[in-house]
Amino acid sequence: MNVSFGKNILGIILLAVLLRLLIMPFYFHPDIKTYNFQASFLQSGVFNIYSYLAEEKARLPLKEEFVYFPLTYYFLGGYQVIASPLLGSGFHSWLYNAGVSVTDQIGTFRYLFLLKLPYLFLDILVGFIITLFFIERKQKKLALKLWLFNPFSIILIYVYSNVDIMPVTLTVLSLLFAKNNKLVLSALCIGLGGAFKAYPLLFLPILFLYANNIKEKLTVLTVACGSLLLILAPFLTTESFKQSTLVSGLTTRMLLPVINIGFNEAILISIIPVMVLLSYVFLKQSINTKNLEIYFFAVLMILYSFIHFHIQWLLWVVPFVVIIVVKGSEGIFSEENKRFNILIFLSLSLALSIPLLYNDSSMTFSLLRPISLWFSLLFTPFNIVSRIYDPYVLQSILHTLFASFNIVLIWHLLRKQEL
Amino acid sequence: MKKGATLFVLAVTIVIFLPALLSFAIKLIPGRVQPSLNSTEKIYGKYVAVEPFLATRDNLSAIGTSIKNPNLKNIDDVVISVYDQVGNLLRESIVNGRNIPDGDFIKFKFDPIKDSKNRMFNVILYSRSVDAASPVEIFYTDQYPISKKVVDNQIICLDESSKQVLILDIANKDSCNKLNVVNNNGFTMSYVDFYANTGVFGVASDIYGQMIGRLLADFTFFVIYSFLVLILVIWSSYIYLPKLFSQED
Repeated sequence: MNVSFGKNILGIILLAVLLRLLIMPFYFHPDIKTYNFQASFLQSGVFNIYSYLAEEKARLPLKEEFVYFPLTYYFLGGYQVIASPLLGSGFHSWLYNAGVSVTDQIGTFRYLFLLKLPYLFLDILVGFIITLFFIERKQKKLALKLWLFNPFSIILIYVYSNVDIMPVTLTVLSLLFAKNNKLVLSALCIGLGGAFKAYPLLFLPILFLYANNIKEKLTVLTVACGSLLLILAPFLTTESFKQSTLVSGLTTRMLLPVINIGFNEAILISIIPVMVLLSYVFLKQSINTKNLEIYFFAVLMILYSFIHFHIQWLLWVVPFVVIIVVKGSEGIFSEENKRFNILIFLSLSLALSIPLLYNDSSMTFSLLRPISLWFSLLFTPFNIVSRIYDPYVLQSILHTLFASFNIVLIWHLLRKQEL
Repeated sequence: MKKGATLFVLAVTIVIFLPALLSFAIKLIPGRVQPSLNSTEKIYGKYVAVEPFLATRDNLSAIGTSIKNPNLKNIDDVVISVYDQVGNLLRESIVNGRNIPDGDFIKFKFDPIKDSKNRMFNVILYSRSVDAASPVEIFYTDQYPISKKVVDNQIICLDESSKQVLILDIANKDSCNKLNVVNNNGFTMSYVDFYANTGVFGVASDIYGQMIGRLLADFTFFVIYSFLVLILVIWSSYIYLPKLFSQED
C-alpha cells in the first residue's frame, strides 16, 4: 500500500516535471531578463541594487528600476552565482542585449531553462506543502494533482516567468504553520515573504485576528514586522528604494480606484471590502484553524476584483484555491461544491483573460519569441478586438463579471462555515 | 486514470503543436529583424529616400519602416515605390500622414511580387508634402556599412504629369525634375522586407526548423535537455503504461 502510494506520487511528479520541461526553455517574458540583469550585479559586489541602478542608469542598456524587495535580488543573484558554470560565458552578453532579437541569440533556450529551474524546485515544494494540509491519502493525491496540473500556475510560473513563486511558497508555509498553531513561525514566514514582495503583508491582519490573545497578537505583529524591517533597514534611507518599491505596483494600484466625496477627500474603493471582511471576522470571531485559508483566499480575490491587477499576481491565490477545492471534495456539500468548483474555474479563467486584452504584445504571442521572432508580428488580442469593439470596455465587462463571481464565491464560503 | 492520461496527452500535444497552430496566422514573413534606429532624414518635396536591397524570398509583399511624424503635422501621402534594377516601376503603396503616428513602424503593403527571390530592387520613399515645416522623417541605421543608394548611371526624377518618382538613365537627366536623394552615400534605411505566406505548412516547418537549428547550435544543452526529457518519458511510461492497460484507477 505504502509502495503503491509512493509510486503514485512519484508518477505524478515525473509527469508534472516533464510537462514543465517542455515549456521552460521556449517561452520568454521580458521580465525574466530584466530582473536577472539587475540581479547579476550581486556578483560584482553590489549590495544596494536600488541606488546602484539609479546612479548608473545612463550607462546601462536596461533602464528599469528594481521593483521587488531585497530578498528577491539576493535570491536571484545568489542563484546566478551557483549556476554560473552552467550558464556559460555568453550569459552576460545575453543579459546586456537590449535588442529585439535577443531571443535569437544562441544559448537562449539554455538560459531560460536554467533561470526557471529554481521556480521548478519551489513549485514542486509548494505541491508537497499543500499535501501537508490533509490527512487522507486520497486528498493528498488530489491536492498534489490539482496544484501540479492546473493550467493557471503552469502558465503563470513558466510562461510568464513569475518570480512570485518565492513569496507564494512562504505564504503557503505561513498558512500551514498558523493552522498548526505555530504563530511565531507563521508570522516569520509573512515577514520573510514580505521581504521578497509586499503582498504577504495583506495576510498580517488576518493572522492578527486569528491569534487568541493580546500576547499572541503582539507576538505576530512583532515577529512579522520585525523580520521585515530587519531586512529592509539598510535600504529605507535610499530614495530610489522608496521610489521603486513602496510607491509602485500593488501599493499604488490599491489607492487608485476612488469615489470622490469632495473637499479633496476620497473613499478608497478596494479597501472598503477588505475592511468589511476584517470587521466581520472581528465581530463574529469567526476565524479558526478550519477556515483560515478561506480568509487568505478572500483577501486576495477582493483585491483582484477592485484593482487593475498584473497577471503574475494571480499566482498568489492558486495554492489557497487548491486547498479549498480539495477540502470541499468530500462531505455533505459535495454537489454544491462541484458547482463551486466550476464557478471558481470560470473566475480564474476570466482573471487570466483580462490581462491578455491589455495593449502589450509581450503578454501574448510574443511570449513564443524564443521559438521564432515571427510570432511577435502577430496581432495582439487588443488589436484584434479593437477592430470590432472597444477593448477597454470588454476588459471592464470581464473584470466586472470576475468581481461578481468572486463576491458570490466568498459569500458562499463564509456562509458554509457558519452552517 | 484514462481521463487523466487523456488530459495529460492533450496538454503535451497543445504545448508541442501550439507554434504550428499560430503559424497559420502569420500572413507576412519578415526578411530580417529591424535594424537599430540611429539617425533620421527629413523627407518632403524634392528630398526622397532611396534604398536598394536584395529580396531573400519569393512574394515580396511589403516594406516596413519606422517613421517620425512629429505632432502628426504631416497629413499628406507618403509613398513607397518598388522598382527593378533597370527602373521599371513594379509596385506602389501609399499611406496617408494622418495614419502615421509619430515614431511608429509602418508597413507599406502591395500585391506580392511572385518571383522576387534573389532579385535586387530599389525602394524609393517620398512624401507628397512640399512643406519643409512638416516633413516625415525616416530612420537610418549604422548597423551596415555606408553605401551608395543610386548608381552612377541613374538619376531619380519627378514626373510632373503623373507625380510619380522615376528612376531614369542619366542620359535623360534634362527631361525631368531631378530629386535629391537623402543619405545617398551614407547609412542604410532601417527597414524590414516582408513576404507573403502562401504555403499552408511552409511557415510552420520554417519555424520548427529555426527552433531546432538554434537548439542544435547549443549542442551541450541539447544533449542534456533531450536526455532529461527522455528519462522522464521512459520512467513515467514504466509507472503508468501497465496501469493504463490493466484499467486500474
